[in-house]
Amino acid sequence: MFLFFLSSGLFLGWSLGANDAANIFGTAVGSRMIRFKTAALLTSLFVILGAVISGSGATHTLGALGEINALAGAFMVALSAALTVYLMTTVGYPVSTSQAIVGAILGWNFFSGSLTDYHSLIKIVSTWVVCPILAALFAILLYKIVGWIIFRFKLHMLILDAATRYGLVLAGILGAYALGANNIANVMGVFVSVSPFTEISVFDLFTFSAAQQLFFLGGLAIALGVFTYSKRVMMTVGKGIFRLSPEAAFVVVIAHALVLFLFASQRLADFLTSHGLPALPLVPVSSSQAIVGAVVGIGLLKKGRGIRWRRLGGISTGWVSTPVIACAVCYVSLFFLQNVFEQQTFKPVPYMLTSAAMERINTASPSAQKALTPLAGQRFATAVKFRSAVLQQGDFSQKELDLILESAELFFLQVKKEVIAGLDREWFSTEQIKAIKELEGKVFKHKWRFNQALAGLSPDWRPTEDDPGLTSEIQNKLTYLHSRFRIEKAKQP
Amino acid sequence: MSPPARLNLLNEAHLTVANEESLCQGIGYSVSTKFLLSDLFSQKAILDQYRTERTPMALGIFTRQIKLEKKIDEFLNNVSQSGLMFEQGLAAFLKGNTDAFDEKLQQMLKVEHLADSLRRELEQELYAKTLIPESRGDVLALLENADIILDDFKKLLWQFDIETPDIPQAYHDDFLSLSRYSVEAVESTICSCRSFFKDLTAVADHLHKVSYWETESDIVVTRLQRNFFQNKDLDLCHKNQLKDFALGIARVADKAEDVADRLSIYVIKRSM
Repeated sequence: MFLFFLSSGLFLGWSLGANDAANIFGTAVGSRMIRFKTAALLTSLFVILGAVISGSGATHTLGALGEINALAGAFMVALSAALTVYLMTTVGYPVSTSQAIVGAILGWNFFSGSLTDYHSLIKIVSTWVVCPILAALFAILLYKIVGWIIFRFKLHMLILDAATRYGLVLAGILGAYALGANNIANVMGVFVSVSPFTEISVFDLFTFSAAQQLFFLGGLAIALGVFTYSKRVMMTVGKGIFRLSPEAAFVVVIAHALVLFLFASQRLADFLTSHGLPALPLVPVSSSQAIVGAVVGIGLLKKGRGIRWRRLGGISTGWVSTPVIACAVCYVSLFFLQNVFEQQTFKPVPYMLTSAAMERINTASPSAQKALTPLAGQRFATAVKFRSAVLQQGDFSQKELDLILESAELFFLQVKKEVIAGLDREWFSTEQIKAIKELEGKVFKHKWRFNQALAGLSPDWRPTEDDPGLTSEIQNKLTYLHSRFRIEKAKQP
Repeated sequence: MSPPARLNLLNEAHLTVANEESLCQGIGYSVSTKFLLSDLFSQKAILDQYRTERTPMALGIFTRQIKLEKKIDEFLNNVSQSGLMFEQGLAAFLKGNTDAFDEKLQQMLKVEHLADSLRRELEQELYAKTLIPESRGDVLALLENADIILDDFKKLLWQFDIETPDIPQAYHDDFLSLSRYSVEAVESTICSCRSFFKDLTAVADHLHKVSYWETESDIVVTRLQRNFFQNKDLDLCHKNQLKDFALGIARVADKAEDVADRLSIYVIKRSM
């Protein structure tokens, strides 16, 4: 069964290879600076290396799909995302796997009655608009700088050609490595906890962990996608929108990498916030959008003469339709999977205003607690039902509503000895592990109760307002612990 | 300045022979007296000089490109020198100095052979190693057209050797001017070709000179033809023969202008 479910992850990996990986070397291949075979070989090699060496971080944060709490559901989310990307790839449009995944997760949310965090959703969707614009601006600026350098140093055409080629290869290799390291979580993240693989030791030199074996498989799937299907998208990126000169191709790749870095660097965000500057949201942005944005930026710099607007219109339509199609496909497929094949596609998360929850709400907002009194002790099967019941009781501010939903979520946790033993000692501090050990055997009804208990035991578990980086790291660790300590209500002692 | 002193200056200034224009400026020659260079340094000595130059460490990764760059420069040197040889050869012919003329013809044959093999090597390397994919077609067309100019100079000198036309003294100055203007047009084209490889913005600085010299050569060749056919002492065969030679020399300037025209298109393409 595991291998069957894994197949959708591998299919998603293949789609990722066919589509997203094409962005890295697309402009280089399109401008004939690098042969397709060389590009495919380098991408495959470094995607696999990135996945196996640096992908292990993904097991901690489980990636975007980690929210989905049943294997069959995860299978369908991955499958619908992969199908959508495949569909777009056959048409030759560069779409993004992360876009398809967001759409599929929304489909799962609608189906399972889970609440969609519209705040995050708007943040993600707005980056889909901001990202290409930012990439275009970077590309224009970089193109001017590169143009000045070429003018200033008067490099010979052949030297410039070779330097551009080296630059494209280097940027491509780094891009492929980063793609492998970051996106393997999307492809394989959900399967880590259910993987039947065991650790392999190679001549006592190094060990190949179960997760790494899984990521290697995912990397192979991505590589297969690159070799079998990415050429078309590469040509669209490199030639289809605007015919790029080799130097412009290099500028595009660098501008795209910079934008991805801006939206992914925790350190940069920390630096900006600590200096009182507004930081960009840390969300998974689409590399396809960054690339297309940068190409259009160069085209606009040339007064937009060579831009194929019709093609660009098609690509933009693809961006809008990708999440919509993925969402629809996922919803319909989940319906069949659950009702025809009788698979559990989600574990219901019930809501209940327990006395502890009411007390917590009372401390923050006594008026809200008063309004909610008629609902106290009632059990709601899904977040959507609970939310509509709450809204019938009166008007609440968004902050109050978030607090009510968080407080009432029933999420049973049991701090088990064997789970503590399996925790990554390098990721958690000694203080943090000590605090977890003190909670051994205890059962919690709510996530926030567990978080409070840990914060009460060690300062290492207390989020601070001054250090957003530390706070988000603590949040990541807590989310990880929630998924590891979760128990079904029936198993509650 | 003695030749060895000039050579030292050349070494000190790290001027590559490749860049003939800066070489000329570096050692104080005007463009019109450039042909003296070939007397001062034989081509081989100069080529040996820069062949032994070491590639700086930092540029080690560009070895293949630097070699190709030198080959392109060497090729352009050959085209440029063919013009200078033609000018000297014609001057020797008009003076009746057969030995000097033969020497220039032999030199020309060697240079033409060398240029041909260089062009073939360049063509092969640019295509086999997929270098400058966007511009290689243009570069090869440029090299082939430059090679045609060199060929034309050689053919003209051969024709002088074969037909040994009787050019009346009255036309000697015009023939010398005509050859000077054609050679200048070729020189300016070669300079713009060199700029095309290194500094696109400088190409236009030389291109306008090509048109100027081509127009000058047109004026002289028209005057010469009119004079031939108004001269009652010459029979029609003789007039036609002289006309063919004059037109042949002027045609080189036309071809140089054609190359320059194509070059201006390549510049627009490349600056995209």
